[in-house]
Amino acid sequence: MADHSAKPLGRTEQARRSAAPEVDGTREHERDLERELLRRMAQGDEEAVGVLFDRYAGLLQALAFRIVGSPAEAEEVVQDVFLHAWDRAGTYDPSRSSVSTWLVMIARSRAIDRLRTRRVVDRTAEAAAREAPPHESAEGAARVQEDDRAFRVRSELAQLPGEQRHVLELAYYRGLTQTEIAEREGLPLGTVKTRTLLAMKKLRAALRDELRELL
Amino acid sequence: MNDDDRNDGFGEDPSAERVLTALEERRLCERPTGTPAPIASDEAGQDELLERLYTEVLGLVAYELPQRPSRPAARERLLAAVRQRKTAAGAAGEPAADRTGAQPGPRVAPFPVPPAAAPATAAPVTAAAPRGHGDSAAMPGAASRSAAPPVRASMPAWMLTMAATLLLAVLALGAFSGWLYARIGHQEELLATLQHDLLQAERRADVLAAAQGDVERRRLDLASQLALITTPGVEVCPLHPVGDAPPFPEARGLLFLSNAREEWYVRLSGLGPAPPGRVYRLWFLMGDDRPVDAGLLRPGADQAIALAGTEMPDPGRMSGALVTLEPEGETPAERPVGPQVLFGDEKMMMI
Repeated sequence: MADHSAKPLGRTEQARRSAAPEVDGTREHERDLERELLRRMAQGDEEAVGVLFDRYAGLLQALAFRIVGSPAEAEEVVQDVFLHAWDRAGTYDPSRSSVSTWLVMIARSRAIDRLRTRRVVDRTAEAAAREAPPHESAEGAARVQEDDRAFRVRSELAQLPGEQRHVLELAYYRGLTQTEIAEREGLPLGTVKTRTLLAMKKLRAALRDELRELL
Repeated sequence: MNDDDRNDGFGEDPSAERVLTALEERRLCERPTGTPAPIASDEAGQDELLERLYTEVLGLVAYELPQRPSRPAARERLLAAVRQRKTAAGAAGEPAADRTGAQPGPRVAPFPVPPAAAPATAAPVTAAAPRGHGDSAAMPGAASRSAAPPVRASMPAWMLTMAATLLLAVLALGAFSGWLYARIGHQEELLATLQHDLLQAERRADVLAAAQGDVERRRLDLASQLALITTPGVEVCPLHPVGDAPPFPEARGLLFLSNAREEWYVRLSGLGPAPPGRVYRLWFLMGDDRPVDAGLLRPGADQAIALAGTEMPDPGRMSGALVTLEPEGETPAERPVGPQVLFGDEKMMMI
């Protein structure tokens, strides 16, 4: 895990890749495999949706739980996501996003729909944040060893200034618009937008190795 | 200098803003209908790449969360729902390969479609059709269109109207059938859920009914026992351990007898479970010490032992009662053969 100890993860990762080019090949293979799963789903292959579920149910369950704050409701969201993916597999466009991002965005959208229906934004999201702190649980720490991508994303998000991370979270997990965030936080809209965009830009720069794998 | 005050070039980076807007409107990863978004130039390609990068950035954010394992039942439930949809789609006559969703265009488009492909060809073909067969030979779509005018010329107006009406009717029927089958699929899903819920409710009702029956039986037993022991003239015969080293020295018993009601009731306490292969049995002792078998005694839910009966020996001749440990499963002997546990030969009038 020496790769993870240094701050400039991008450079370390680049060095690691140049020494082990087969890693790229594996990632590329994974990406093609996922696109193939979508293609098979579009042709009515139910086994493919099972494979996709095995790959992403944990991630989507975590995201949905973070947004709706209830394990049972999060499970319903995940069911909705995969059924939607099944119905719309034929419309998946690999030039717009990776399969994982496509699923994540469907899950986020479905979870926020439910959240808005319930009108309990603050309580559930904060309860979820309390129940599943991303950096403190032993389970999370163990997964760091297994999942490079999660580790790097967490590391880079932790490097963001607090106010940028805060507005990004409000937009991402609570589904608030920039205007709603400005009203809620008592900030000028321009400031909110700048903070969010800066966060996105920094993440784009910091996670470029991850992004390359997804393209 | 604060980050917020710094001009970091975002005023000139519309890609990030577009992605943020799409995130807000929850249409990220979706290509707007009718916009194939080809890479027509380096600049447009750069824009598209930037948008894609920002989209993936937002997709990656979810990875910060510790994954939560899903229940195995959730996977099974998903696959069952998928199979149900497949069945519904099959019933609707929809070929699996045509399941493309509502959005038009190819199901999977690994390469962007050239921008001129669809819209740009439509107008020239229409305009070129009257010119003859030269263009249409290279384009099957145009061939059918070029063949249309002669048909139109020879066909009466009423036939054209009828054909159009028929076509509309067929299209409407097709759309209605599709809607109907989708509706049926949804209703079947709902029905399956309701049937499952109903089954669960019936099981719960059975359990509750059984519990209610037990409670009612217990209530009747207690009412009957209360009536017995409060009957005027009821006699009580205390039962005590027998011998110098009784197996259960703390054991006690009370036998209630009512000549008026011709009923008796015995309740024992302090007895452990009968040893393997043995059962407790109650005997009434008549005046000549001839024991009369009164039945088996089994521990109840509260570990106490109780037994009631309506076969009364002649009370005038009854001198006492005895509890013994008899071999299990054998026809009771005329006399006790097992060790004696409790014995009583004093009867007292309670009321």
